[in-house]
Amino acid sequence: MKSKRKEALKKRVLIKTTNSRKVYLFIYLMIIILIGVIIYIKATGRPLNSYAIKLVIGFVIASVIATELHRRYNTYEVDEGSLVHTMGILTKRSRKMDFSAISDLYVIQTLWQRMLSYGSVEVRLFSGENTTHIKNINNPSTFVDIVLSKINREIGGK
Amino acid sequence: MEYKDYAENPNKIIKSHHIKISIFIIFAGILLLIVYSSFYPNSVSKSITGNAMQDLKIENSVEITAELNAPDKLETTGLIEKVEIKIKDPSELSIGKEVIELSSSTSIIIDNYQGDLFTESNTITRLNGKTNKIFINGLPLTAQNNTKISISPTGFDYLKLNNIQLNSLSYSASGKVSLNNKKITVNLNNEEINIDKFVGNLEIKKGSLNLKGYIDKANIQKIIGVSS
Repeated sequence: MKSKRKEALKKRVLIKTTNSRKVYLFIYLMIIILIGVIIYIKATGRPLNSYAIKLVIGFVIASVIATELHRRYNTYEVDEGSLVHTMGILTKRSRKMDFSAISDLYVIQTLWQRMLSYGSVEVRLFSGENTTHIKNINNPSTFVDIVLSKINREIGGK
Repeated sequence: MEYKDYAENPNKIIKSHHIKISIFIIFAGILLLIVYSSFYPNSVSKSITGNAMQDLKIENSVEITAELNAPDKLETTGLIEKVEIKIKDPSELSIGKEVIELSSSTSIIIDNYQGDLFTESNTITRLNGKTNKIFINGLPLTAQNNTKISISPTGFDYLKLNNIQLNSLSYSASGKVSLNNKKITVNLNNEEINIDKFVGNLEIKKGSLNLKGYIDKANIQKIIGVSS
């Protein structure tokens, strides 16, 4: 019975997205540079400091864990009738915005973000409450299109 | 939960910048440590990391002398108090921007050499570093501090490295190794020898290798273990 209810809830979620990994491109680049330097030093037969290797391993592990946790801190879900922003990893807090309450959706992309096709979406409500930022998601325009189509269907349905 | 516009919350932007700068500083620090400790292994970096051969203390060291066949390959990086070479073939020696043509049987002495010295089959395959004093056939060549020096690959008859700090030397050796003022003598016959953390003089002459210096006590077991 419970699993059926869970399945029903799952089915309602149309899109679930988190921060794009492209945000952490510079951190990944740092990891690649460090590993590349170690490979070069090994290949040229130069002495490699054991403490430096430990530091690199620590940096790589810490970076990967931190970026993944940071990514999963904010999740954005579009379900049948609302947009849900959930914050937190262990303790979760979420805000549900009904489609009928959304007045505007803005796509914000810098040149760099446009090149890598990710960006932020600003969600404004009719009530004039504080804006919600859906930060650094992949293909923000597609995300907005889906939300808009849902809003239009909602309005049309009424 | 507060949903505030980022433009209205500059503190968050500043905090985010601080995190980015901190990550970059950590990255730059690690990169600097790797590069510095690898390219200048005998410099300050070693005192930071504790990887210095100069950390070999008298009370933790044992005297070693060895007469063995020369290793096919020898690679050292770091500071050598004095390098003495007698080349076999004509070669080119670069000191700073000058290039000196060397005839066969030329003897070269390099004082306070810091850099790479690689040999393979009685050939210097790489000598690339810095020095402040060079003698060619006994004639001193004035050099400024930290003048770059390199030599084109050349065969050698004689090579002596004074006060060298060797991180490791391992090869299949034949000959005699004496430890602790000849209290322990190990005879090797085509057996693998591993000498780690050696400080002293190294000489390669007519296919034989002579070592005289000190090794870390912790490495004795390795050498004795080979013969047993």
